[in-house]
Amino acid sequence: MNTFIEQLINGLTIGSFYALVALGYSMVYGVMKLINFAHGDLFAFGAYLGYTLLTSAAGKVTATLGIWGGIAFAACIVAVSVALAGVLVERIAYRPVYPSGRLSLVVSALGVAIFIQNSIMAIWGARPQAFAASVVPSYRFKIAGIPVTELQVTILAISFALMFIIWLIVEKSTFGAAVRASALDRETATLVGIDVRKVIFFVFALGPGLGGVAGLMNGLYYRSISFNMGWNYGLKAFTATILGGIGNIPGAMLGGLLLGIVESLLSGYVSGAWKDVFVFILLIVTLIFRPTGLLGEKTAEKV
Amino acid sequence: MSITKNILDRILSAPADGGKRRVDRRTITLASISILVLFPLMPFIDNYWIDVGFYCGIYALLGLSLNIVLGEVGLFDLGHTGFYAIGAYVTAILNTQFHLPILLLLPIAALVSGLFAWIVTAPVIHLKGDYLCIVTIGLGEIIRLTMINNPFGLTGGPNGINGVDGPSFIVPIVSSRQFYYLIWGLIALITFGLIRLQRSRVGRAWNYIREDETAAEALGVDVRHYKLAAFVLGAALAGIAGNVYASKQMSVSPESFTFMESSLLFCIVLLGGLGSIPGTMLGAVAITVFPEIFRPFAKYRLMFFGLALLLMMIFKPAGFLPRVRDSGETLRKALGGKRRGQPVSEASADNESGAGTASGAGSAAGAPEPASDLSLLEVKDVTLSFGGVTAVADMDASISKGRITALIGPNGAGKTTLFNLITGIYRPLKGQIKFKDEKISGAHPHEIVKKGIARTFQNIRIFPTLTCLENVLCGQHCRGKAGFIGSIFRLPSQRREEESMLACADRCLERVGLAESADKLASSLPYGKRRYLEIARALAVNPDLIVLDEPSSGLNDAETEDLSRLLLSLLADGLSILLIEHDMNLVDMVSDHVIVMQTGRKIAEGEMCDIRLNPLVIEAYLGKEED
Repeated sequence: MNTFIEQLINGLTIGSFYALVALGYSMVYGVMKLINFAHGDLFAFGAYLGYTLLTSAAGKVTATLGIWGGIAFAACIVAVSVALAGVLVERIAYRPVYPSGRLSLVVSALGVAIFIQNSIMAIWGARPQAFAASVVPSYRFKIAGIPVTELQVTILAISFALMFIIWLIVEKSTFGAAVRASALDRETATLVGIDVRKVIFFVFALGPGLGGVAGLMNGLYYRSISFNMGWNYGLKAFTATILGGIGNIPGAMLGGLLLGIVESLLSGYVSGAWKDVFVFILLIVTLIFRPTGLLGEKTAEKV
Repeated sequence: MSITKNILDRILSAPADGGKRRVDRRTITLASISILVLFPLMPFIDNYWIDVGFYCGIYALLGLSLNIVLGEVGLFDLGHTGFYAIGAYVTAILNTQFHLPILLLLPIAALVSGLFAWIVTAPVIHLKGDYLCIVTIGLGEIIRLTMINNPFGLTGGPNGINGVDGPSFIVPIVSSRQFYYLIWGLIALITFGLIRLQRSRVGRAWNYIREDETAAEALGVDVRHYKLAAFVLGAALAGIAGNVYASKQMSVSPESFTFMESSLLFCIVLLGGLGSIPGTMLGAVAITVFPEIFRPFAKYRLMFFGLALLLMMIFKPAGFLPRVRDSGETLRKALGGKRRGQPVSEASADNESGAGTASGAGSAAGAPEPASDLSLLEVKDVTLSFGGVTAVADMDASISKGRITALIGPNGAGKTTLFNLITGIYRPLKGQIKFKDEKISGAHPHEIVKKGIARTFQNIRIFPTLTCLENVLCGQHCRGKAGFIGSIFRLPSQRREEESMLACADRCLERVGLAESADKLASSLPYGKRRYLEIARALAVNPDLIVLDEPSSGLNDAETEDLSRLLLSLLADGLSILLIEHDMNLVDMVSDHVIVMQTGRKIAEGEMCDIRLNPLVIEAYLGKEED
């Protein structure tokens, strides 16, 4: 039973990374109808930036601010920088291509993804990098007999807090209504006076910002990062997005957490090597029976 | 380096305009072919570059195979590498275990890949756009991970399988040069077939689906069938590429079949131009040669590559060589050597139209009265609701042969829903619909079209990037039978069929006054003409009943009058017409019978003059008078 709960907590932690990244996919997809393939690599960029701030700067940050202070500082810088990168990507790669249609956008997105991934490789090298042990909190304790780490609890707390804030913004605020309206119908949204460009700015800042923080937390959790981690995480997070129902905010969160838990239980109880195969089979079977994901709404085309 | 020169030449000459372009294309094609043939024989080309040429070929073949799915049908397939992997692994496993010769395995690899594609895509083919996309990504990953996990010790795990033989065709194929000619020879054969498919009923059906799936289905294209066929054919071609790749490498391993490869293939098709065969080949050349040129900058070359993709999409989003649609003349010429001039097509035209009118001749021959009792379409007790809202309730209606029946009613009365029920886009919850005494409710739209009901749409749904002629040919699709074999080998039956389809399409275009626009792209037509194009497309079905959804909306008075004249002349030809209309003048001018709907129910029925005075109708339109 204890192993089960341990696996569950581990799954929740991984799932919260997926969920944070999935939110970015989902929001961007909603407004742009674009799978932002660069999103996974922005996540990796967040992880590397965090690594540089905490480890490469000779531990100065941690030394001055303490472990938690260092992480908080890194998280802020990462969030802002990756958000900025997200906005830049939209300006440079997506806005000029948008009128040419969705397929061109996909290629453009793939191009940006390849560019970012290889830029990371050019800057930080092709070999995996490790976060120094001294910058990662390592305190372990038990809750009701279940061993957890301080880091796990923090990651879960921060992730859920962030998800809750996003949910509040998108579902409850006036600006969120504008985001949702733009997702439903961009032209009509413009007609009723919504500044869609502002909405796009918002989703391209917020999504990658969240993704960057998730990347940093992921780096701290596993301590090891590699330049091509973005493909894999991006793919998984995108799977989570579709699983939950693309364009649907609670769906992205549900999909992410579910995917993390399923993955972790599969590798714990069935087989680590086959877990991804099962994950994709699960996705395909879900889509056969629910073609628009778990929480996605059935949309009927008007004829 | 001649490859790059080739590219440069082609890029520079691509934007040539007008009539000159056709000539240019032919010379460029010939030049490219001769360069491809001579390339490995040139003295300054070493084996390294011949191998680059070989991999160009592999990517070109893969690009062509993906082009069928992505370019022709518009299905987002980002897991195409999976089918390639299956071809390669099938070859490697059967060759190393049972020592079957590679060339024998070529068709087997194609078959297994195609069959696999059919099995895995059949349950998911109904998914739309990005959902299908993630499923294909998932499939690609499942295949790659399965290869890594070495099930039953078959795939050799992460290291793959070594010791695959080379192929032998009369002589063993070993040298770079031989492999080069093998792959490009295969491509030549395949391209030949693909070009013929593009100019056939099959290829057009694919394009209709890409342009507008709903309209294609509603005009008689079995969308599911053609989508699956595209996946199967695409996978089979990828399987062939896998076979050649495995024998050239003499080994296979999972790392050749990553998601990155699938993305590259996707880029090849888009860089070249969606649905364009020469474009796809050029895309493949660009993708293979680019990294070679930038090899000195090893560390940064993929960075440049990403940037190049991006710039390409910004500055040339349609690709290097966008698909040029065939004109009617080209299509006719392609049908065969025999000069079949005007007389033949005219003769067949007469036959066709004779047959067309024969069905309804009795009603049109100046005596519409006796025919009026003949019921063509019978709607009985039909109900449909969407999540609690009843759109059509217990609807009864009877449409008579040889008449124009108008369906009117305020917005939201359920008129279009009734149309969608009749044409099979929706299925009734209750009740049934009979056409010519045959139950049609529950059938697929493309089956109903075949029985003789053709339609137009309220919010015009033409196929914008196809020519007007091709648009109208869509109507004839359900009247044809030619499949893949017939189209590739151009069997006599297929030629005859194609000729009569073209003749019919021409007639229909002429009928609505669009004969001169036949070779223009549909998107270039002004709004009013698009309506007519849609009507021509419906006429090409040779229908008994034509169902028009607000044909006059957006037309001005003069155009509406033209339209009413057209409708009456169609009636005179024996066609029965059902139309939804808001323009009461038009209704008054043309219709024999009017059915009024409100909130999903029929509230009145009869001749227009009576309907005008019916208090229920007045109330429905103007509201209740308060006094």
